[in-house]
Amino acid sequence: MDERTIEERLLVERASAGDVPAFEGLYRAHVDRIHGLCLRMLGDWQQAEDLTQEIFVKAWERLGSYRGESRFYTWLHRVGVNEVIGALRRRGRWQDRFTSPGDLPEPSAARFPEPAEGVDLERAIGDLPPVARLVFLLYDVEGYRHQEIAELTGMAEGTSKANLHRARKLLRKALHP
Amino acid sequence: MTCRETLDRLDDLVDGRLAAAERQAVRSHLAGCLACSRELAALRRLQGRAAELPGVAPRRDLWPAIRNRIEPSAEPAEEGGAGTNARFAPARRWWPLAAAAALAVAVLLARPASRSAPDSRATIRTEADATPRTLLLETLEARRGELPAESVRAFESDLEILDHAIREIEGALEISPESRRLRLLLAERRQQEAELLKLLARA
Repeated sequence: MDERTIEERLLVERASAGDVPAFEGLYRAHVDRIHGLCLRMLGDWQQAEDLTQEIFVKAWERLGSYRGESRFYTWLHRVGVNEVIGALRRRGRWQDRFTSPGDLPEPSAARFPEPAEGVDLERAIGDLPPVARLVFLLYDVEGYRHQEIAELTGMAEGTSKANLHRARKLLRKALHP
Repeated sequence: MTCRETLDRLDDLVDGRLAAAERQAVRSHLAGCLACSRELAALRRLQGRAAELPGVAPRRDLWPAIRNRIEPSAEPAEEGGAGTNARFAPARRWWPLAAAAALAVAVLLARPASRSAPDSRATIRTEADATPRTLLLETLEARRGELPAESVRAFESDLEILDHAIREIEGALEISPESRRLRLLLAERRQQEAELLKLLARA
């Protein structure tokens, strides 16, 4: 166990006991990744920031259920993904159950500020059909497996695989026409 | 295997989901097909770039708003008070005990350094979660020969004080396991162990 892991574990322990400054340490360490997840999923800065706030409040409320079996970020990320999917459901964009390309918001990758090589990829991801984008982000960016994506979203594993295949094909075409 | 059949299997190939025979067939095709090999290379580049996408900082600091929402629930629960967070509600009942434990810890931390030998506490805490302490002892042993004897004694003394404090708190927690105050005290002592470890590493 490295020093950083130990420090994080101690912060989690303190935050679980109600120590707000310790929780701020966890927030500072992970906010960019959680916000990046929200922004790529929702495609809107204001909504992504609002949801990021919700995710950390939820994490604070649920810290007592974190048992330390996994890394803290893994647990926090799961809280985040559930909140993102819940937000999409609440917007009423979930009814088509991954069959319609219009059931999730269409982000604009131009909203991502970094003028780096990653912008092309961000833009291409933003241009993906919504469900393909969701599956690609969960699988290739965040490291989830199809079975986990199926559990989180309610889609069949085969649907997840098909959408990943579609997303990768479209991205390769967009990045290397 | 045709190009079409190969391209349809590239995802499963990179994701490790092909059976051995099928994997071999795809690889055989790739070995002789430049176009399909390029597709495979592009797919792997895409995967690499996706996995390295960085986090994105919010445009504003979200912490003040988060703190405002969680801080009321972080205060010790008032008996019968409105807005009490159920997670912390039991803490109030154990407050006298927690206060006693806090006082004990303060006394322990303030007392002069003792000269106990390290062996006397070698079996004090053997929990699997005592990693900072274990690392401390290992580091201390590893560096014993190179550090001044006075520094070694000082580290041993500090560690002994922390051990005593932690034992006191753990004992109190056995009686009142829901006590938020005790859990916080325990977390603080473990934080001090980690800080001691850092000091030792830099000594």
